Amino acid sequence: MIVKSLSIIFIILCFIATTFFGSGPMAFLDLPSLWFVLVPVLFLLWVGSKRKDKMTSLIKGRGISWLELVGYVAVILCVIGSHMGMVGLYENFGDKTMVGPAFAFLVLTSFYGILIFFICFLLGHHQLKKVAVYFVLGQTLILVNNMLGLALSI
Amino acid sequence: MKILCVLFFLLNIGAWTFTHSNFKNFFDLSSFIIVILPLYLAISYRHGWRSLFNLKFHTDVWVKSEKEQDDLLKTIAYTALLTGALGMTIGLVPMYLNLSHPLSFGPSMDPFMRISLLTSIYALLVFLVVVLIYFVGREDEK
Repeated sequence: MIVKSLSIIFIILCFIATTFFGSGPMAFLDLPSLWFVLVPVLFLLWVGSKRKDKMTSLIKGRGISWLELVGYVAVILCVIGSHMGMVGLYENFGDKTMVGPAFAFLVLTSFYGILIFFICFLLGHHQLKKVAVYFVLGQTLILVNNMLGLALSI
Repeated sequence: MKILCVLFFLLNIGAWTFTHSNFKNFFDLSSFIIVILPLYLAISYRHGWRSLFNLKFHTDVWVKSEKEQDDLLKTIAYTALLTGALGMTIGLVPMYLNLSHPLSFGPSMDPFMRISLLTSIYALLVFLVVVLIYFVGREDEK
C-alpha cells in the first residue's frame, strides 16, 4: 500500500514537474473547469466514504468498485465539459477574447477528467474496461479535431 | 442517496452554466427531440408496453422487479449514447457540406453544429443520470 501510494505521488509529481517546462503550472489551473469536474468527484468520494463498504470493494450486484465508478463519472464529466466548452467556443468565435477561456475549459475539463480516471484506476484493484478506453480515445479525437478547427480558421 | 446524487450533479452543471455561460446557448428543441424520442421508442419497443400513450407504465415501471429495472436502465443508457453519436453525425454532415472555403464559423454557431453538440450533451447527461441511478445506493436496497 505504501509503495502504491508513493508510486502515485511520484507520477503526479512528474506531471507537475512537466508543467514547469512549458507555460508553468498556473496555466493548468482553471476555476470553472475545476468546479465542473472536481466538485462532483469530491461529492462522490464523500458519499463513498459514508458507505459501510470500502471504496475498493465491489458495489453490491454491480461488478465495479466505488473508486472505479468515480473514475468513470470523471470521464463522463470530462466529455460533457468538453462539449459545453465547444458550444461556448463556436458560439463566440468572432470574439477573440472569449475564445481563450472557452478553449481552456474544453481542454482542461478533459485533462482533469482523464487525470482523475487515471488516479482512480491506479488506486483501485480493477481492470480497465473497454468502454472507458473508448471514451478517453474519443475525447482525444475531439481535442485534436478542435485544435485542427482552430488552426484552420486562424 | 440516489436522488441526492443525481440532483447534486444536475444542479452543479446548471449552476456552472448559469454563472459561466449563456443558458439559452444550451437549449435546442430539435436536439432534444433527436435524443428523447428514440429513447422513448426504444423503451417501448424493448420492454413491450402495448400503448405508447398509456401513462400507467410511467408509474408501473419503478415497482417492477430489480432485473426489469436494471434492463430498463441499460436500455436508456445505451440508447442515449447511440442517439447522441447519431445526432452528432446528423449535425456535422450538413454543416461540412454547406461550409464554404476557407473555414469560417462566423459570429454565431452554425445551427447544424449546434444540433451536433447539443445532442451529444443531452445524451451524455442522460447517460450520467442513468449511471448514477444504476450504481449509487445499492446497499440501501433490499
